[in-house]
Amino acid sequence: MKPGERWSEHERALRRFGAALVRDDRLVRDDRAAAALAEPLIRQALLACCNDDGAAGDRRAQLFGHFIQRFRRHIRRTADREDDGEWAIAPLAGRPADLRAAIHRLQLEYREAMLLVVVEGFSHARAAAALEVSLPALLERLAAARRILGSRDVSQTTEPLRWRGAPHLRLIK
Amino acid sequence: MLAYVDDCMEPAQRSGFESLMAAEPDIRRQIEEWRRQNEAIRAAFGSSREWPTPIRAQTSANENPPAEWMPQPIKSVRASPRLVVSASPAQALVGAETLIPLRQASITRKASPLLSVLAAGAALLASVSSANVTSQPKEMVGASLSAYRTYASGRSNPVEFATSNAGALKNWLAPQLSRASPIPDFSDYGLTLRGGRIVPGGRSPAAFLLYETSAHSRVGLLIEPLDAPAPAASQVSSDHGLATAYWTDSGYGFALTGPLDEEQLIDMSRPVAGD
Repeated sequence: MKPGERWSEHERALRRFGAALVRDDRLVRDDRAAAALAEPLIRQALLACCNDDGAAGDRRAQLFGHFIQRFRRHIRRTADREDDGEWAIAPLAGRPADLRAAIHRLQLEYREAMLLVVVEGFSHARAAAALEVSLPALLERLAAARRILGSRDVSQTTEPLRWRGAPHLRLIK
Repeated sequence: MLAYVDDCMEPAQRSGFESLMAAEPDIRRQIEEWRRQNEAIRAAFGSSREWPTPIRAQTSANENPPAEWMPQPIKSVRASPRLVVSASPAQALVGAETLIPLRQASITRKASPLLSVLAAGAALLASVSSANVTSQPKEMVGASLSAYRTYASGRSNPVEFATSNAGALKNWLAPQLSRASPIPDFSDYGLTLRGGRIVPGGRSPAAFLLYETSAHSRVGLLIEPLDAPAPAASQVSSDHGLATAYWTDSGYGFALTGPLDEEQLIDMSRPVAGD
């Protein structure tokens, strides 16, 4: 950790990021529910970051990375418990009321990239490292998210919450 | 353009891009639109909003833990020169260029030389700064060592599906993993495929392939589908007589474990696309 760098600053930023990330307007439909879901994951991420082997490096990116991995695991487990997986692709009625709602409806991999870069001010390289994806993959997701947000085309955001590494989150017809 | 809007450019690159932007109204319009988008997103989620902190467990004494509280890395890590070259900014640039169809074609044609330079710079920055963030290598190396000790070095049945036919093994593994696993061919190193099984990976189910030398010495390869990792050079670690090489390629993480020397493992840890 750099001199003067304080855990409380990272924690505050992670709390804001976490509550914004976990809200999806499908399973988690309000800010209070989002904060309640994010809180234990934030604490696990803080603990994991404190116990990390690598004392050197970008501690903020490490902390956010721990949180993102835990949230993805939570999503996988939630999908495991579902019988049909339909919740992940349930279409949302109408167009999103505003930009905030549109971001909540983005699929997870786009939402996490946009929030990290735009709201938390991560550089592309730091965001790619925190998400454990390559830089081209991150840029592709940012470009796709911006295109969707620019058009507010909800139909593009009702794809399932899935990513390449998640075996269970598949489109089920 | 994304690097400019998200403030990820060096000052020199920034001024170069601004001069290009001044001459290109299409680029200027797109940049303005994305800037407005950024401002709106920050206004919706930004720092002015207070998020609750339910319990303040921290004190001023533990907000900055002493450096000696942090465990030190134990294992030595060495990079393969050959694979460092393969993960160079030039290769990453090729990856970034594949994004170009996402932009308007007319803009791309005019701005492509500058975009190429910017992408190379960003890729170089990524290659420098992405260290020490991910715990994925450690998790996969641990999973590979566990799988090797359980199945390859014991008396238990080493494979679920015994075959030396790579295609048959690939078909057997495919429905059990999120993506079909490649089956590398190590016959150049005197290794014969003996079969495979599904084992717990670092974070998700993984394929564990078993190879054998003519002297019946076994080498295990753990292959785990990942999100979209950057190609990474081989890292080798040793643990109680077993060496493990870890690398990523084509959306997979690979951990090769066996009683081999590090030079040999580095030589075997290569890109496997198309295998």
